[in-house]
Amino acid sequence: MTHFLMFYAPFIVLFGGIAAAFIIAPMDGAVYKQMENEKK
Amino acid sequence: MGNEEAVFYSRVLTELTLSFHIIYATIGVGVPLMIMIAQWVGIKKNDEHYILLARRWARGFIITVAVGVVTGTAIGLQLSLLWPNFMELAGNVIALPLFLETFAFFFEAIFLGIYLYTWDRFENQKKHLLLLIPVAVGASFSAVFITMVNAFMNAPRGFDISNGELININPLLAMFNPAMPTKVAHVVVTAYMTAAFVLAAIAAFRLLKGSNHVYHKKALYLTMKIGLVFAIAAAIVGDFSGKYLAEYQPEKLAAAEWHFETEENAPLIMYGVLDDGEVKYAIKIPFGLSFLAHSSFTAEVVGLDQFPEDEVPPLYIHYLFDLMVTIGVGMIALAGIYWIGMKRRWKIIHAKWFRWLIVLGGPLSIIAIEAGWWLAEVGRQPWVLRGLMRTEDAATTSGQVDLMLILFALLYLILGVGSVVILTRMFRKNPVEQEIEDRETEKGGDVL
Repeated sequence: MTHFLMFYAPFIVLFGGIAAAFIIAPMDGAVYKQMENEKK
Repeated sequence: MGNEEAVFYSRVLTELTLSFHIIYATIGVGVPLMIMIAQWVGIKKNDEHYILLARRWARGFIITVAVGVVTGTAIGLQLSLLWPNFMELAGNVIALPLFLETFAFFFEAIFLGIYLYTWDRFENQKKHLLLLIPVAVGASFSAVFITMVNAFMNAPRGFDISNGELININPLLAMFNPAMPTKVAHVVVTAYMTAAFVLAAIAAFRLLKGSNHVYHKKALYLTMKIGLVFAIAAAIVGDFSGKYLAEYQPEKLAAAEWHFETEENAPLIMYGVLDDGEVKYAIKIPFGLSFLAHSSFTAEVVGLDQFPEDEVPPLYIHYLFDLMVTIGVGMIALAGIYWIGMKRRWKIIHAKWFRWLIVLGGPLSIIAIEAGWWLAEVGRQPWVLRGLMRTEDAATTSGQVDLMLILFALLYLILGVGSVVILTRMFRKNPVEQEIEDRETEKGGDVL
């Protein structure tokens, strides 16, 4: 287990982080809701 | 100048160069991914604000690349001039990633030139986006290759020494040493995290200075989300690094954690001060170090009592460790609150003081990077090549290092001040609002 955490898991976290960044990046509905609230 | 002075000035100059270079290198590794994500979102959502984000970030990125090239060249020069004995050995064993780093940079620089020259020249913007892939890959792989060399210094592999001669040299084994995975992943994710938080700080600053444009709001939301993802990733890889240290460099972990006696159920010491060898005012987390090192609350953790006194790293690295971890956890909390606050429409996240915290997060992330590198380098002492070559044996005996230190310090001062002045003027002369208007005129309608 320790071997996996030291040698493989770091790359899984790195590539997982990049994938997660691309997945959440287009989700900007909260910004438009913020704009609507400010207009009210 | 005696040898001791030459070693001292060589260390000071190398620390100064690395500390300065790492700011530009970190931004240089992280920003291409941010540009790529912004442009991709812009194309996917047909949103010109994100496209403009990518354009403006790319312009600023060129300045950091230019400075990074100068400081990177200075490091190469100083490695040969200040540490000739280390380079003699390294040149035979670990030269491959040093060369590959240069190729990765050329790869990045060539495609960056084409990418910048071809804005608005592609009918299909997706084709233009493809040019960013080699830029982002080249930038990240520059960090990967150079970190492999640093990892080799911590866990030298891939050669044997017989009668003072290097034999059985295996460059691939040297590159893929045990320190490499955790170090490479930690360096790359923290570069992405820092770039995101620096860009978030700029967006928050513009909102604080009176601009209420949606462009800045989108920039802030995008960068804080990405910063959160990579801050969490950095914390996870940091935990793996602790496990690596416990196994391969226990003296570094023990010095960073002020773990003096080898024991089971070892507590994690946070903060505190060291007074005559006694730890005072610290927070002790029971079983914390055993869990951090071996994923078991009862595991035995090797202490500094297992090492000769002259092989124990300087104990002040504990403060660097605390600083790095505190900033990292603080940034996770800040970005997490912001993200949840945006979803739940909390007013607190639009308060001036909260935005000032986000502005502060940019420089704090850079300070965390600096603390991390100091921890990594000072924590390896007294070795330049762990277990094989001491720092004092690797250094030059030249009497001119103090003069070099003054000249390089002047160079960094000029580069630092120059790059800040150029970046500030570049963006002040061409404000977002003006550029949006210009692009609307160019596109012949209200596209933004």
